[in-house]
Amino acid sequence: MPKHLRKKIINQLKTEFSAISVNEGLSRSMICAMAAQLDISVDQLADVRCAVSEAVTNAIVHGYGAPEASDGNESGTGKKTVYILTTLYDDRSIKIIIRDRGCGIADIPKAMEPLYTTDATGERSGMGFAIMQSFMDSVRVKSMPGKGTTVELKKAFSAPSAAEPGTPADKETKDVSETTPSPSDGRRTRSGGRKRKA
Amino acid sequence: MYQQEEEIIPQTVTAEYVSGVLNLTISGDIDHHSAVTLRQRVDREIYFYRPKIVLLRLDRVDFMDSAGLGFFMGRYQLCSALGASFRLIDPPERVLRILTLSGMDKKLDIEKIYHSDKKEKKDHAEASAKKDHQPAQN
Repeated sequence: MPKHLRKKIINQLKTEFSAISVNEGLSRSMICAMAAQLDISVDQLADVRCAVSEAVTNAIVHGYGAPEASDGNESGTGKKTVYILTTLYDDRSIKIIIRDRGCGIADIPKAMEPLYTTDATGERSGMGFAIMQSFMDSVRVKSMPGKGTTVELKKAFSAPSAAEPGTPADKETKDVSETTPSPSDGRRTRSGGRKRKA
Repeated sequence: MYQQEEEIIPQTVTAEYVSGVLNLTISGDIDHHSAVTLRQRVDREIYFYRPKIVLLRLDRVDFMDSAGLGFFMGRYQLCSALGASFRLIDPPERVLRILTLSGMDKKLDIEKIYHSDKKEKKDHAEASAKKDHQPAQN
């Protein structure tokens, strides 16, 4: 791709945190703060938020096999780390890479099947990847059993909608109101005054 | 009864029991982390009251991911086992979306009180509800 057509990085955030479930909320807030810089709608933000939450939960629950919610009191959490790299591009797209050094996935297509779950107690839905796929443009999973898993989420947002504070429209009306009452002072007071009241 | 405990934990469940109907209101986020606390609290209420009908109010839920689906599924199964009916009341649009996506909207009993449009936010629904209330008071 020619250099001038390549999209430019406008912001990048690299984070790593302990693989404990209390950090799921933290990662969501972090991604929200980053994605909000693209000036996207609340619903779009919620989609990204949900997809990231799924990926981070997967890394913590499946990658590192945290059995239940933990607050970091158990031993050995220091070695279990989730890495997130968030990149914003100038074409209003976002790329989020979530990486863990956990157990890895042996059969990726099967793991991504909706309703497939390793959980037998009926407390998990097996919808994680399905939600990621429906909320993001692309989901790529790379994994090596015993080495870890990398999930790459991408989403591109279209230009801001016209319903949002449209500066061009405001400018036009302002220009008209300023230029029309120019011919004479009398006309300006009559027509201009009325127009403003109406 | 449990109010002192609820103030400590940001994830709150309020329970109200009236003649066989257990009304549970959940607020905050439902994710893998909070689901554990929620599960314990909700199950405790269900086991304590042994209701005929369990209503789970969701209008104050800010966020939910697939862990929430699992949470609903588990409660649905528990209620079925105990011979109670389980119903979700007023899920926000985003929660409803995830429920629809997983096909759980067909399996679970969902009731929407605010008949709001897709674009209408929770705040709008609340605001309009307040407006409706004001004339009645006057």
